Amino acid sequence: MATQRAWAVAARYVLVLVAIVIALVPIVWMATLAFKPVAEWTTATADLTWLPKNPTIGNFEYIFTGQTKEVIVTLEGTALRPVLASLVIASLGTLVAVAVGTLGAYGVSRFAVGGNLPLSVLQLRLFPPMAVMIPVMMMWSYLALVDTFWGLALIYGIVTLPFAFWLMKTFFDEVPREIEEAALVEGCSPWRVFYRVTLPMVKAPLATTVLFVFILNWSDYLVALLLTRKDWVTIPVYMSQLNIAMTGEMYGAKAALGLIAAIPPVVLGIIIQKHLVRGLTFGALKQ
Amino acid sequence: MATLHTSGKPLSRRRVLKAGAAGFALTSALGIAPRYLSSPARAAGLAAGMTGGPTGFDGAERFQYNESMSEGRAIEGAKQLKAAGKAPAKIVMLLTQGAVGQFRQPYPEGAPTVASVWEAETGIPVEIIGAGETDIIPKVMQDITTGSGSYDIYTGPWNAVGDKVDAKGIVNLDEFVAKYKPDWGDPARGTPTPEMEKLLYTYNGSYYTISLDGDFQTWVYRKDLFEDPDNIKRFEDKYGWTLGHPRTWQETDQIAEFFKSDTMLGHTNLLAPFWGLSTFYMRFAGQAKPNLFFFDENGKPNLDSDLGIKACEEHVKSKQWASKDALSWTWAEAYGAMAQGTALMMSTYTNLRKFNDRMNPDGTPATPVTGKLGSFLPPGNIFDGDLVRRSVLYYNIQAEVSSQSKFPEAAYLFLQWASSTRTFSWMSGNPGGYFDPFQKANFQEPLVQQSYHADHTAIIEQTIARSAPTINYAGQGAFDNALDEQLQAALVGEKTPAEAMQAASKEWQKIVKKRGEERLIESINKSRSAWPTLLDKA
Amino acid sequence: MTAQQGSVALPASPVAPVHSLAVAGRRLGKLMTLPTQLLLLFIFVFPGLMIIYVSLTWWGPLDGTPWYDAYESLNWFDNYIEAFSDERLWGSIGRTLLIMLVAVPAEFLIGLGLAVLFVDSFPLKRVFYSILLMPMMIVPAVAGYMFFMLFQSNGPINQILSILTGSTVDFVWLNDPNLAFVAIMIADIWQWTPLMFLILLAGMLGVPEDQMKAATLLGASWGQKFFRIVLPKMKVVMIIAIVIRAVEAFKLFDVMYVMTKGGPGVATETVSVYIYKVTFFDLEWAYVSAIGFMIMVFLSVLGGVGIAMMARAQRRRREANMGAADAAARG
Repeated sequence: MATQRAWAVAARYVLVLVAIVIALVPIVWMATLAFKPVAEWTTATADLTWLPKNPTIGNFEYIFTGQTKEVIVTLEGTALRPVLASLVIASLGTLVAVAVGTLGAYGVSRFAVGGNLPLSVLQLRLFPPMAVMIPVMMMWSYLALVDTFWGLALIYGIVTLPFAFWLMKTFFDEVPREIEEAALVEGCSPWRVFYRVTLPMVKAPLATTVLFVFILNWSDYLVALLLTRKDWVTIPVYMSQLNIAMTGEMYGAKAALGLIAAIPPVVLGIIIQKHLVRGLTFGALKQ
Repeated sequence: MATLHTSGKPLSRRRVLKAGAAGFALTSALGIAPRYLSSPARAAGLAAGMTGGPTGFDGAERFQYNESMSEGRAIEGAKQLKAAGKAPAKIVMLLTQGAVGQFRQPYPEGAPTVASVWEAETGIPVEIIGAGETDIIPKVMQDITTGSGSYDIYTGPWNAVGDKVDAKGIVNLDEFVAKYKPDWGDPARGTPTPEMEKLLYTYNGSYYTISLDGDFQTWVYRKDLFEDPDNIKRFEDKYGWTLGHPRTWQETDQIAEFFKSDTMLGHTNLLAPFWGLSTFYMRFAGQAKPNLFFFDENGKPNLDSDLGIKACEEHVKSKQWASKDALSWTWAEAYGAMAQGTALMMSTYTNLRKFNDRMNPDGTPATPVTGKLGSFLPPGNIFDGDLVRRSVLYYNIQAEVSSQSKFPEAAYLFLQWASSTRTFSWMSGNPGGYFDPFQKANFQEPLVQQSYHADHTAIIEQTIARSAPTINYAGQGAFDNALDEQLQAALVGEKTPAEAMQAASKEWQKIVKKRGEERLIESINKSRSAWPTLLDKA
Repeated sequence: MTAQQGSVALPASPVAPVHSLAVAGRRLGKLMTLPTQLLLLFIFVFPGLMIIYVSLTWWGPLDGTPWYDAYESLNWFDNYIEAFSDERLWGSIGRTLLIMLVAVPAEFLIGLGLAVLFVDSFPLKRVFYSILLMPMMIVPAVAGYMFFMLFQSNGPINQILSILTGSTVDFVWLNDPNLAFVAIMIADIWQWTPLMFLILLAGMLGVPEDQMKAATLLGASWGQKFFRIVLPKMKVVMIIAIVIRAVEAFKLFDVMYVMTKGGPGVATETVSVYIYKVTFFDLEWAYVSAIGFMIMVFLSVLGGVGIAMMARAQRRRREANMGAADAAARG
């Protein structure tokens, strides 16, 4: 029995370590690439090294100051603005989706209003955004929303609304109504019941919803490519522009930016880590 | 060897800008017509009789101008527009990211940037918005169809001009050209031939687009390996002829086969989607005397003709001497292979040698192949004593004035100024971007010869004379995309070359019908008249 | 990190006293759903009408006329008829479904396996757990660039495989139709297994401990406990996890557009990539609209069926509960 347990423990560690190594391969590649000089970027022919032979912070210097010693072309715009734009737009989009989605989900869950609303919301998420980009482009242009932070945040809020709505709805469905009924009997208004009683109970799933919606908004490339121009270009779009005549794609600079782009979701993830697992059960566990 | 400069340059740009703005403020305050006044600092650097142009470096006078020249007329026109309140607060230009450096990067040492000279002389700032090479067509189409009017100037591949004209997205420039007389077709300084001016600047007989590039696919090779006596001897033993510049595709393929090894690619010609079309078109065009056209006179595709299928077979066969990853390599990876010295030759954009065959600012070679590269004429096929050498014009960054621009005349004037032979000669030598030389004056320019190398520019000129246009009429995106997919299917072995060409031909016929046969055949035949007729002796 | 604290532990009431709350808050409910309704209306009405209208014509940007003049080239249902015989469209749909059918189950199984490994606590669990979640925090476009480099034929992945197998591995990942497909799926699995893992682990931790203890006391083996107690309890969580991933996998675009642009040939062309190409290179906007509308109808039907099934399952559960209550009352 004891040897069996020892084996099981060993096997667990081996498997977990294998998974960790696989998860880390592309990330380590990105992290080391971010510190490689131009000569070591190319995948075409250079001998392959994982660690930079001549480590440099040139890539970071380049994207944030617009110039570095090795690259003769200075950048037209640094990464600072896209990073801020991404932060503003992804946060605002998340706020829209989560606020609207939570209210809507509670309304549908508790008051039997809205009719086919859940289906319509679901349709919105099922749909590949590429298929409606033509009319959305037209509409955003008519409404002068192209290349504004509110314009992009609005579309992000809309396309991630279903996520927020459905996550929150499943959870509200599982919150027992007795507590709310009791509060109602004690003279609370329905809004107060929601705000003071129910909402605090769903803190954990709310945090998880925020993280997911934020990651989705933070990652988008396609929508931002078509709905921004210059002022509110986000990180993924800015990254696609990091190429110059001499080297083509600036992989090192892209990796450096990729590393920086991973910080906000990771930080957000750590902040809500203790809620993460609980929130994800969507309340579906109570059976 | 080109010497490059690095740090501290944005400062000088700003300084020039400031000086220009101050000068302008002064002129407007005094209410004097700007043409009689230029700031003393600027005037000091100008050669006698010149009213504008860059100063501050050796040879700057070659790029200076007065009102009798194309650049000077553009500047004067812009000043007058500005004085009359008909100039925009800024001109907004959408440009491929990789070319921005040529407007914004000072060159050579001590020089201002190209954009800053315009800004200082006219007081009209230019805002450049960068976009990726393959993102730029979607961005332009989006701007045209949504009517957002985000840009005054579009840039993009020459091939997309027909699509933009049909979409009514760009301005007919005939009136401006007549008024300001650009020197694009100047017999001494402009395009190599009058036909080339038509090809690069007009569509269906009118001026619509302005060339800022010379993407005539040119061959570059490892001179040192070709000249190695041991290689020459072994090659002769194997193939029975002396290793040298190939005349035919067959010879080219033999050379590629000979040099191909684990550490050396026989060639690194572009084969990937989008970029690889040029390689195919080139091989295709030289399959008949004087040319194998893409369509016959009745608008029927020649892709599935015997010669077309032969071109495809050869194209597919050539894959074995390229990198195994060639189908996902853009020009950038291919340039990289050449730069690392692991590829023998390639046919590509002319700036390969500008980037790879150069010295660092500190005097060390920038790549292992610095000083080892040479260029040769495009290969072809022999038909009873005549050698049909063909290359193609593909991509080629061009600029157009957006139909939605509120100040089309000012936008045009900026483009005329930038594309005229003096400014463009100065700009095209700059290693900061993609724009390649194509005007006669460019090739004579020492700065261009320095960065592109004199032997290379001589070959480029001769290549231009042997270059066929690729597709640029309306529906181009669809034509190229359809062919591309079939070519890729043949390259990965999903289809035989014959099947692929037949399928592509069918797709093309469908597109012809959709776009309207009559109109398209007219465009196709117009394009045919721009094909080269030059034959070499075999 | 257990999922049981808090309100969820309370038993659901057999009778439905919802009415009082529902009645008291009906106005509030309408008000609360209003923003959602407005946003939906905003995003459905104009695009929906425009797509339907344009899809009945030949209109495209090359006509040089604004979209509202599309009626000039009215063709009724030609675009739809064409779509039915469009091999590339169906090919891309088939490939998208194939990616879904391989990648999503793979993500599910690996995620489930990892969740089993993480269900009890062990040293360094928190650290390992955080690392395993990292792939989903990487922006997909960046991941695409990294995988493009990793999958070069002399790139790191072949190098690693060579070391592991002891012989030279030089797969040309991105230039072979089948391998490119595999590479795309590997990238997707790499990025999204963490999400599965997270959801499934949550579900597993939510299985009531007393039941597990009872089973252990009764001498149940680990396998029995897993298959008899844990899996049945996790059914809903598993369905949610799979559905979320399947829906997102259908839209796959960023990673593969950077990695292969749908190539070589059309080997990795998904629906989104196909639509992107027809939109911006072929410029057939009427046709794209028809495709868009068809996908919308198809997915709506699918979504409707799904929701109906879920509602039925919920109803059945409620009825079962009520039946049990009745029996208890009678007994």
